[in-house]
Amino acid sequence: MKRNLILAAVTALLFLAAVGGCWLVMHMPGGMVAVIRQDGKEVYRVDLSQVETPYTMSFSDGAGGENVVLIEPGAISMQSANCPDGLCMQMGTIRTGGLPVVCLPHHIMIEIEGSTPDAPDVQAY
Amino acid sequence: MYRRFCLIALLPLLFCGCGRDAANTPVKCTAEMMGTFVTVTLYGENPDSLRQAADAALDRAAELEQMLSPTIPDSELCYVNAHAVEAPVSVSPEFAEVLDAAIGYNICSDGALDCTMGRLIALWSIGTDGARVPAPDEITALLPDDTPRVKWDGRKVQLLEDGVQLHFGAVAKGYIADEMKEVLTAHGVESGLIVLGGNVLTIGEKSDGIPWTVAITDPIAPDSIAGTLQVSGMSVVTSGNYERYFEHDGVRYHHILDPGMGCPADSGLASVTIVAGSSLTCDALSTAAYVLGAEEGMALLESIPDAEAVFITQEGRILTTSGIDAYQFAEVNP
Repeated sequence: MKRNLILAAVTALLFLAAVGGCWLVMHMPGGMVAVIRQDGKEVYRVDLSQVETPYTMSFSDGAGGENVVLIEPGAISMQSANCPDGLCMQMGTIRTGGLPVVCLPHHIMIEIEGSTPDAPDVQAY
Repeated sequence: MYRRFCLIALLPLLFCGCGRDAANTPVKCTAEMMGTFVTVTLYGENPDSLRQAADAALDRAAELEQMLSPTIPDSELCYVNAHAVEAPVSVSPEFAEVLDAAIGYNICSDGALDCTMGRLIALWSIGTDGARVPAPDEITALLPDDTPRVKWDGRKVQLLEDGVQLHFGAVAKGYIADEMKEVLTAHGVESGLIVLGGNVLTIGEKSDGIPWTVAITDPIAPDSIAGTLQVSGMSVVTSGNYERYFEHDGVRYHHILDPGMGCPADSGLASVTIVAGSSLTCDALSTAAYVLGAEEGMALLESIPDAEAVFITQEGRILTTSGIDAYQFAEVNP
């Protein structure tokens, strides 16, 4: 009888762990991966949730175009660019998927893939 | 009895790890065309077939860009602009569809959308290295008068004034997105997103069967969102004064030109977002309504079935069409 009770208790614990595990897997954020593309090709990828110290990355288009991207914990932005309009710098800092930072003159796009479950799937702009 | 209970209770273990199935890992392809970025994100069980579908859709977009681009020197559009003054020029079925649509929206918007403004757009060159504020007489010389500028019989087009140039900036991206969607659905794609320079076109629903949440950019603070829409299989397109612009002497000159004035439209609106089944419809109506302003733009939208809109004024006020509830528009931080 006592053995059966222990078996039932262990089973109940396993059951709760399994259900809890399933729930966690289905609801955990999918990561905050920033992807930088140049001329349509991926040139850099970083999980922003793993970034602890801000740093910068420089990109050149080979024709005098220079962009500096600032990568921070959970955020990414265009810190500087020598493009004529400077719109990429004015697009601010992005923290979720949806709106990418785009430097059309230098053919660079920065976007965040994966996000929190409540974040929009896509952004019209 | 206890053993039977244990076996039943342990059944959920079999389903551990089912939370992130293959359908949740999208195939994503990006390309640069039409002076912007195009991204195709597809969901499904077979990544190889999804990738093939995305490649086919991007190939189709490139094919259409070759017809409709004003910047590719040997595009069909450039050929028409160069030769259709002397004599009528036959055009491809795709070109005809776009021209038909552009003329139709020109009529229904009372001229707020005008595909004959090619030279005016080139004069301002907004969004290029050569952007500048033209002299008033340069603008006046290019404004339309009451005479027709284009002769179109459904097959051949003729430009009736020397210097008139066609430009499909307000309709081409929408048309291309619709054509890309056709290619993807013909390949069996049931769930996905096409984003063409900020124009959104959804395919079906998300893999979990619920609508896509599409955010609308806040035109006053473009790194924030103003609201969200829930859509399935619909397109969402925004025209706003924050997309392409340049500043001169502290004044912002954005890319949406008012055909009547020849200058960036100053109708009191900061952005217009349209939801409709066709991305071409969204593209054309968002531009036309932006030029018309809140009152006339809203009247235009209310007269068109199956298209809804969210207007945001320059003061940040939000106006919606009567049927927007169908898409559960939710304002962010109202």
